[in-house]
Amino acid sequence: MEMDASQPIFRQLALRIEQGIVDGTYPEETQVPSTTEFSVFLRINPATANKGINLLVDAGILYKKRGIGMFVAHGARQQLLSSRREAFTQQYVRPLLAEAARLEISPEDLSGMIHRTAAKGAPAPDLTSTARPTL
Amino acid sequence: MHATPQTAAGLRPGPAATTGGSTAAALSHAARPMPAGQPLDPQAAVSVRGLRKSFGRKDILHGLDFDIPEGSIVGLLGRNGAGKTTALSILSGQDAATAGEVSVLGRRPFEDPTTASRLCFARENQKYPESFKAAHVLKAAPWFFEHWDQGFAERLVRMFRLPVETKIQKLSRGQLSAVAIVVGLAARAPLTFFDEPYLGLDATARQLFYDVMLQDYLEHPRTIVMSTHLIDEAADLLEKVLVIDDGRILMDADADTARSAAFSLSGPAAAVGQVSAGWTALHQRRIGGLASRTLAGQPDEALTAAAAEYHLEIGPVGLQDLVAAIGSRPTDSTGVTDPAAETSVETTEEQR
Repeated sequence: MEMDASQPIFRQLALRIEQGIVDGTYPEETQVPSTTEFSVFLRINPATANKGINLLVDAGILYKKRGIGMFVAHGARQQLLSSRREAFTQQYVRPLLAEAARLEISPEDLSGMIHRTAAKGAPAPDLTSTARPTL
Repeated sequence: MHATPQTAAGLRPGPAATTGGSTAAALSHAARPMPAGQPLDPQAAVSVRGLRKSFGRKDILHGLDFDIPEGSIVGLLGRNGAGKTTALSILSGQDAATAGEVSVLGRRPFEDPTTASRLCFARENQKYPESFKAAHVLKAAPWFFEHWDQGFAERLVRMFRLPVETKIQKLSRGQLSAVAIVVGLAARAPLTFFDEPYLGLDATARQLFYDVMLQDYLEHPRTIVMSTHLIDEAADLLEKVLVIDDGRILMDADADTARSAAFSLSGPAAAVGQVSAGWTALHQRRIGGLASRTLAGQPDEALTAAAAEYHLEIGPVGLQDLVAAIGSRPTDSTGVTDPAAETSVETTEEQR
């Protein structure tokens, strides 16, 4: 299992599902795995899995179809993209600038580095998580 | 994984911190043990108030208060000798309490024999009649457990490669654990106690046990209490944790709260000492000029900012490390002190 200790497991599960919605693993209006399936697959307590899923239900990302299961809400992907873009500065840009300052790289040099790296093609590997579920 | 005795040390900020109560008091409200004097909860699968147990003049349990919610998987965590098995023996009616109230499935286990058919106490050192084989155990089990599933028991026997025609006395420790696991799971008892169910099992068999237990729990929800000190490998299966040390409950929390009950702060020892001033250190490790402290609570903005300023690292503390940290202090009942701990406290004070 790839859960880490830095955040509650239910939040990590919610993040994984969100990631799956953003990257297209779980398209809108399709069913996501059940609490039981997540519990067995990730080897986590079902109450924990349920808590993670409910977090997304409360946020309007998932909704429940009675007797069938959990589905990705219409517009969920756009909603996640915009909230994650808002968090982007805090999560990535600020730490990047802080480390750059430590290494005496000016914002201008940093900007140049970003442009040159982007010009080389392939985007960098995703560093936000060590593993994604493939459910 | 852990530091050598020279660098490992329990850090106790004041004299009061040598008692279990104050370690617990350092934890956030949601992780603290239940205060004494609450009424029993008859809805809980297990409800215990002021439970004490002495053998002769030796106090083993000093007054436990806790509830185990029905339908949950609960971890009873602690070091060897902390009182886990004693507590489970009393809860399962195999032993009488010295004092206190115990309600198990709404009844008093030691006085009410009907409780026994609804609970299963699975442990590797279970006593069986001489010349008994695992086959005999499986044959007798349906008489004891009303929800016993023979087909499931046979599947488990194959899964764990248990030789059923060998005398139990001749089984290895791992095979004895397998007997306990087969009985504990196939009994499907409304309340199941697994007392360190992994003794002698290799990593593959332990994972198999965790997977089968989770799967069967999902299909047949019931209350499962597992005592363990292999915490990291079982932590994610738990809904709630009870940490017991020296006969006292030190932490009583849902598993997510327990995970965020402490954090670590590491870097140059002087800076760590300065930034963590005013915080309760549960544990400290040092190597050369570097220190890592386990601090109770979650980092606030001031600490996070100070840590960034001094280039200190804030890290998570897993359940295993947290239990080790709160259980690493010397016992107060014997008056034994850990010299390494004293040294560490002094050097730390100098650093400030």
